[in-house]
Amino acid sequence: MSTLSPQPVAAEVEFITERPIDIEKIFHDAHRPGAGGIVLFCGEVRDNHAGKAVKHLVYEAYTAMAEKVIREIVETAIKKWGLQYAYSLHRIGRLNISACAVAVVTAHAHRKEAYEANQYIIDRIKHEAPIWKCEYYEDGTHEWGKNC
Amino acid sequence: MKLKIRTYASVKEVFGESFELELDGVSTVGELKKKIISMRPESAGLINICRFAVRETIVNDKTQIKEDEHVHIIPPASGG
Repeated sequence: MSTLSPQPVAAEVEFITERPIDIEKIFHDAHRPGAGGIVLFCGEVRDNHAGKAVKHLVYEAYTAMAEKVIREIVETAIKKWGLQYAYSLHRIGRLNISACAVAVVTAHAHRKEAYEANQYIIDRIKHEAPIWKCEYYEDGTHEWGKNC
Repeated sequence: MKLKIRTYASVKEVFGESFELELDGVSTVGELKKKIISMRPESAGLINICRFAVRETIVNDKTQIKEDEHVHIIPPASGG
């Protein structure tokens, strides 16, 4: 029988990457014998915004602080819901349409907690992590994202 | 006092990615904010919705700044 006590995130774990996000690895790493529900969220690049055709995005971050902020959010969720595992990875740099910009995975004995914790993590990351999105449009213009 | 300022996103487009300031009579984040706005008055609306950070920690207007500190100007987040 697996342990039910929440495990902290290892010190060497990184939450920001310049490389494409390996969503299958993130899901694979979340399996725990005692977890009956695993929720995997993937935020992908959309081809439109406010009626404008989006060509690609560029994300930038204050990486050192974003790492610290996301770690705190993930660790808080682990404690708050008693998760068996949680992790999030945010991409920076240039991303094409349908690329994965951010992944969040949560594993819990039951689905309700896994869903709630997953939404908590992505909502806080979007509002609190110092990461910014610049949309490049088909018409040649670009615009930095507003808080959303 | 000498400071290094690092900017991001929309603030970077106004001020450039980083710049140094040699300041007299500035000892708090609030005073620094006023100085930065005075450099580009049209940026007041933008700077006023930004947070400021030093050593990966958000600071407030009353926070004292030290010599050679790196100050990061943080616009509202738009990740995810």
